[in-house]
Amino acid sequence: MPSKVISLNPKIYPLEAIYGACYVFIDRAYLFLDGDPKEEVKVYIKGKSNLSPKKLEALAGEFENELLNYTLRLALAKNTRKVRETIVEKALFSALPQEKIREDEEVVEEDPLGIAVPWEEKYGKKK
Amino acid sequence: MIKTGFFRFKKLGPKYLLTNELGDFIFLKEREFKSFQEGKIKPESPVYEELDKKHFTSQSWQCENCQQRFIQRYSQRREYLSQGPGLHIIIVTLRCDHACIYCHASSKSMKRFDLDMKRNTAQKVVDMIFETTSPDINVEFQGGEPLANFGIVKFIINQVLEKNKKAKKRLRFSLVSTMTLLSDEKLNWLNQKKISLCSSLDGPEKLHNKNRPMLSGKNGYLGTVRGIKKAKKKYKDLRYQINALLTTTRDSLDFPKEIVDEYVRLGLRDIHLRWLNPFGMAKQPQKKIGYRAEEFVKFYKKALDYIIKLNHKGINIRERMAMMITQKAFTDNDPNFLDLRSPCGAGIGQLAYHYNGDVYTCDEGRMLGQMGDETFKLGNVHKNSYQEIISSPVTRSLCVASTLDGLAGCSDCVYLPYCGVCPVFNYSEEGDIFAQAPNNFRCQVNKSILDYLFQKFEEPKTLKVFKKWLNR
Repeated sequence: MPSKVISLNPKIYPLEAIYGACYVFIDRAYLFLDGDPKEEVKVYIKGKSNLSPKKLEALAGEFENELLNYTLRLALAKNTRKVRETIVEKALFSALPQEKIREDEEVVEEDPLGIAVPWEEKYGKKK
Repeated sequence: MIKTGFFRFKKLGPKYLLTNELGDFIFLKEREFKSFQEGKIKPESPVYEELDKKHFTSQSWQCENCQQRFIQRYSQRREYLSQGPGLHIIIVTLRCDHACIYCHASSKSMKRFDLDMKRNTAQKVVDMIFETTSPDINVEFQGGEPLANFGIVKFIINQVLEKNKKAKKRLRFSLVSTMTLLSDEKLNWLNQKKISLCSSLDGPEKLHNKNRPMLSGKNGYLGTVRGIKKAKKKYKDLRYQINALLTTTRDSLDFPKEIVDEYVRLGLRDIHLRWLNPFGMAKQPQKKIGYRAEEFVKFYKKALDYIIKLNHKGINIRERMAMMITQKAFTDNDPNFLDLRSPCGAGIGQLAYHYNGDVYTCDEGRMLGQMGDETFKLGNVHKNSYQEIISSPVTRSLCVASTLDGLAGCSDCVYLPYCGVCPVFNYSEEGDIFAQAPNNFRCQVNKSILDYLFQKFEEPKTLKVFKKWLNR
């Protein structure tokens, strides 16, 4: 089956975004990664069925768009982390009954691994 | 030098539209926008005063009172974040007497009694509903045709009312029905219990029957219209009103005026010009009955213009999308429409209970489940606790995937304060809960409609109509 190689500069596209975009395509294509993560990453892409050159070109184009989408998403995820986390935490926290939250807190309070016990108390003072 | 506050913008027609986190917006002429960006706008100018009043200048954020006001307004706009699931959709049966060409619910024959919700499941559903943290509970009956399993509808309503004597939640019930099975006895009972009714009406007889044929071959339009008229006569208290839902197919696109006229003729107060969802049966014949985003937008604009014209003539009918966006743009009270908020309501604002007790993030997730894809199933009322359902990684994923601030194409979109995404739609259409916004049908439609509505806000006469809708 015909395949296409897409050569990527890892300084422009983070490896995380390349993996992510590949994953989105695994239902439509067979993908294989090669190259050097510091210099050049090669994505080998081929359709799951026998694709005409035009369709293969379109598939590769779709992949490149998804890669751009993924890269931007990763950048946004980093830049907006604080505000997103606040919103998501608030929304999920509010949907859970207070008893459940208290139960979780109690589990933490129990501290079965003794994480909250100071080092000195556990092992004595440093000599 | 005047420092700017945070804002998003786009060029819309000859002007620039600017919006901020509080949902305030302003239109600036090109010259004004340029001098605002460069910090050269004169403090004594009327534009500056408006920019400052609407929190577009850095200065308007700095005093202690300003910050407090900002926090208060921001919290109020996102009040839904602190409430938990308020909408509980119950699929009491999959049986239906219609075979609609786009059936979102993937309904089954009237003889399949095995697809009815059983009493023990209904009891478990009611128990789970009362676990919600939300002070409001809106129970919505759907199907199939919920009137086909009316015994369970009655059982659930009675159980909810009984349980609420202690829980004291703010209750609302609504029943979504084709109305063809609405007997006088059922109507009397529903009216007595103050249950809102919502029917499906796709427009004039020919169009309605083409979209919504009955299994028996009878004229479904006549049955639905008869039901709507009968219910309207019975329901004197307008707080528990009769509504209808429109689903737009390719065949509807040529009849915007006729569809609106049909709603007016039946005395319906609202119309929601909704596009076709890619779920249920609609997935298969999508090409035949579906359309491109621009085709739908053209239809929407024609229908909305006609609605506005009717309102100018004193005929009261509202379009729901326009009404919700007006509310979001001019007030701090979010209508909490679960498809048009950030994050969306999946799991945290609503839950959908299938006839067999399976619980889904939302009705859209349930429709995909009915098609054999259980990605959005959270559990089952017989096997899982409310805590397990809400804490599911699926709920968390959808919450993250619908928080606009972190989404490509949304985070810098001028319409972020008014919009929302549907990860289930994205998954169904693109195979990923995160959409490629520019290629996404829903995004294309919403952006175009918002462009149109914000331009309409610039027309004082039209804006007066929209604002009047909010006060009705």
